[in-house]
Amino acid sequence: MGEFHLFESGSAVTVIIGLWMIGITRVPTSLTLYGTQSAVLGLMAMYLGVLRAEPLLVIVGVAVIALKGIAAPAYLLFVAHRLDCRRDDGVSIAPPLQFFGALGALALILLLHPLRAALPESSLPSIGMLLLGMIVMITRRLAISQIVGFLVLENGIFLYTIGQPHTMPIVVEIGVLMDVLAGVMLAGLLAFRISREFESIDVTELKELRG
Amino acid sequence: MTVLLLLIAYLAHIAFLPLLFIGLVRWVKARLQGRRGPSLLQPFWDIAKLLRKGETISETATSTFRLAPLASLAAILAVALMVPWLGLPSPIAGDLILAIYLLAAGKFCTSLAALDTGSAFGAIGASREAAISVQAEPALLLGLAALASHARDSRFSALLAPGGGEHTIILALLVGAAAWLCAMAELSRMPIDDPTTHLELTMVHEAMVLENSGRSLALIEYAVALKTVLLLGLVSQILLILAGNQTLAFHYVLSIVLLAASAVALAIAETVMVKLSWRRVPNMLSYAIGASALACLLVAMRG
Amino acid sequence: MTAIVALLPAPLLIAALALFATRLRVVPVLAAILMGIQCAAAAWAWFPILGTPRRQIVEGIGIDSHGALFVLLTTIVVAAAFVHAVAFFEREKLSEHAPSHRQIGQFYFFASLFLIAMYVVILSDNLGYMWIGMEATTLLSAPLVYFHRSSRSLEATWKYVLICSVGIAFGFFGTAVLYAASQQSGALHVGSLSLAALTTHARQLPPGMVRLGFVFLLLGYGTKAGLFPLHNWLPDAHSEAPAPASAILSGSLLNCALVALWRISDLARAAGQQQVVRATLLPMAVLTVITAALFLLRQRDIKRLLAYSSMENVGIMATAIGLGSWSGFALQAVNHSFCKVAVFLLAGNLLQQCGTKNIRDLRGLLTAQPGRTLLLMLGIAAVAGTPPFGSFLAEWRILSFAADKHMPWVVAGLVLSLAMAFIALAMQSLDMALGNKTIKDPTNVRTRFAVSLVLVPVILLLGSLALGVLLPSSVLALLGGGR
Repeated sequence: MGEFHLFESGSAVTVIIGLWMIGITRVPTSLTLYGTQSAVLGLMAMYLGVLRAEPLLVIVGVAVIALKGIAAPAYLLFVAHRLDCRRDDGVSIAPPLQFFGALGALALILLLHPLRAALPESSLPSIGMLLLGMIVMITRRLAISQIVGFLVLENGIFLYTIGQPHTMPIVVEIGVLMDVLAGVMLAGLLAFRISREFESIDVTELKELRG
Repeated sequence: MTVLLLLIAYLAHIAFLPLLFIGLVRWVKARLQGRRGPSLLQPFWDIAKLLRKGETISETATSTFRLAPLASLAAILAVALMVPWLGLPSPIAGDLILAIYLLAAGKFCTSLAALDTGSAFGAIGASREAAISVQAEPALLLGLAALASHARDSRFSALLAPGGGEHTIILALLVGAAAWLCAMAELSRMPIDDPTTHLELTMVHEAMVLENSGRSLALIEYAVALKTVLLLGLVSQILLILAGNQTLAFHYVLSIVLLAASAVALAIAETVMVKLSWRRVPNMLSYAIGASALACLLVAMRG
Repeated sequence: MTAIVALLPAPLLIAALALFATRLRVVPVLAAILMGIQCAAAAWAWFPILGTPRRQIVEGIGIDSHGALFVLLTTIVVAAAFVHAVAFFEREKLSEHAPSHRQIGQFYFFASLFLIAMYVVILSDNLGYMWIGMEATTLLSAPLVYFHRSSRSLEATWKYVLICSVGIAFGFFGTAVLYAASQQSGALHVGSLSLAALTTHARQLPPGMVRLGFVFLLLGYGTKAGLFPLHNWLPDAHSEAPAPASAILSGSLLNCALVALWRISDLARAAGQQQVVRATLLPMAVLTVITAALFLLRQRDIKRLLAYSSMENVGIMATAIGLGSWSGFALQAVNHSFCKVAVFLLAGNLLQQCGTKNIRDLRGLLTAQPGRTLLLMLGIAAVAGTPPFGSFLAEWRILSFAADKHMPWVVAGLVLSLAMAFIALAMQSLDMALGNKTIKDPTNVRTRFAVSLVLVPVILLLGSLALGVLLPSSVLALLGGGR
């Protein structure tokens, strides 16, 4: 498949997975979906690396699959299992409505393309994923789901970086990956502490500090 | 001339395929559960038995109750001749909007009949069926409309033609997924409803036909079987868009194979999956609308 | 190159020492001594670079006068905090919630690595390294905020990590956009993340992408700086951290984020996009000051009060950046760091003695301990921008710069909020100082006066006073000169 077709199909698949995650209330399912999304992105990166004859990009792809596709979801699944949080009912809006709202927002962005002057059309999927990540973070109550939303956001940005004709220097890409993962680990640790302190990881319980 | 041949072919298949399909589903399910199960032809004997039996009709029922099974069967039969679910071109050139509305008309008749009997379970079933169709019908309509938009033609023959363009793959997959979910919803199959349940409070379609017996029950069972084959045939055709151009015979063989495969898939689903709690059914069906809406979005962006 | 290497050994040594905290009880003292050596090393390596227009790029690290100033400032702030922490932690061990040795060890470990991350942010020429350093500062300072292990600090840490990470993720998107923009310019067609290269070829970058990249980078680094409306984490994090950590966070981390903002707005201006800078950064900055002033009026917690005051100062400095005035920004940064660190350390002492942060519970301090309370009030006055302290001069410079640029709304907004903030701070501190004393048990060893506890704040306040009273043009030239 040509580079453009691969990129388009791959980004369509990642956006569909992202949209799927918005309607999911079960935490382990959303983690598995995130792992799949990262794996798809890693495969895309590897394939693009081969097409553009950039071996470093292939290495980045492998790292993404290993770390973001397998290690991070496994760690978060372990955390979810220990905290015994199975289902996240979200904040006040029913999942189908969240889903349709996200779909509507995505449609608006894709059809109206407000940043037409600044960004080419090939970066639309990544902006869509940014939006989806933000929606997941805003509409969820459990700490773990907010972490997943943040990770989807990161995936959107990663999609943007591999869509450019020349990828970023590998030091930066690996550094970003490490930073994100360190953030995930830290957030997981904090979730443990929150569960011990507040008896649940419902972030709407964190309301002592106000004003 | 060709139309006559096609008509005869379709009628022949309509006579045997639906009940055979149901028999296959039950047989596979039995084998999966470790039983020997009834023979593949058991549904035929069941229908024959029901046709011989007399009917018990509620005193409060009117002619609506008597005519409804015939009406719904007529509607489904008409759609079965309009949609090329066999892989062969359909004898009547069908439009997607007509097909969906005819199916809805059939459903309407059944719901009326259920309410007509004055039984509470009938009313529950009818209201649930209506609630499900609120989400399932738009999903199917949108999905087929996306395909029609892509093909610039709303007749089924053009809709399901193996398409060009590099986006057909994702389009076909999305619409196929939506159509599968809609089929499960319309046919009251897992995970929306368990067809073998004995608990009236969990039934959707079966609650509507609780009051039917004898000949009208036979007609209804047969109509449901025909609708099953019709909708799953439609799903197979949508997926066959991906296969590209082939000869007619090969296309026909592939369609039959896919139908059999969907029977097996249905059986596996009903053995493995757990029925969704009623409050979660809209969540599931919103995915159908979502997939169709995404397909429409794709067509709107790419033409 | 030696300049960079000179900065590394002391913090790394402190981190290594801190790993053995359970066995070595002298870690705080050793850390303070090592930070003193670090100050000397930084001064020796970086002082000559101050004020010179020289600019050198080594492996993505830029060595220039602007960076030198903030390296020195950061080093001084952290050294001051570490020196004070020696006596502070000694007292802390006598209190009810005595920190364990492990906690203190973790504090020093993360604080020293945090220092290195801040150096990376200040000195980076490569946008990618800057981002990595910024995210690293978030992750490394989270354990500092979580020091007390209470539910409030847990909540503060959670909000801090989440909000800053999301903001910085947007910042990375901005970096990626700028990288893509560089690929479309003529000379850099393989793409470049180097600020120097981007600034040289700034006119060739596609303007739409520069604007978009700038806005996202503003969102990202603005979150880290605490600009409105991304400031939610600031009061929580700065108030729940222990006093030395609050001092470092307010005194140097905010500066790092602002330096990053300066560099990217410089780039935007070089690309001819000062309009977008005026349209986005400036309103955000002014709104930050106004919001902070409004919140200051209703605070009941002394450390939160100071955190909102930090937010207000960030807004003032961001205004300076938006207007393009380096000297205003630098002067305000130096003064704010000195005063804020001093006041946070003094407030920490107060909290240690009285066991409560609630202003309503702290009354009659002037009668209970006149000297220290006077010092605290002077510190708060310095932070509020009272003459003769240096912050007054710095704010005056920024206001006159804004007036020169014909921006009446900016001037009006700033003056109004500065007045509101001053009133709020004065009200709260007078609330604490006057009235009948409520401190119980004055003979407790905790409330005894110790010179070591007030030494550092006094020195810092004197420094700020010096900057306010005598400001020879040589000092101004050292700060980077010009307008």
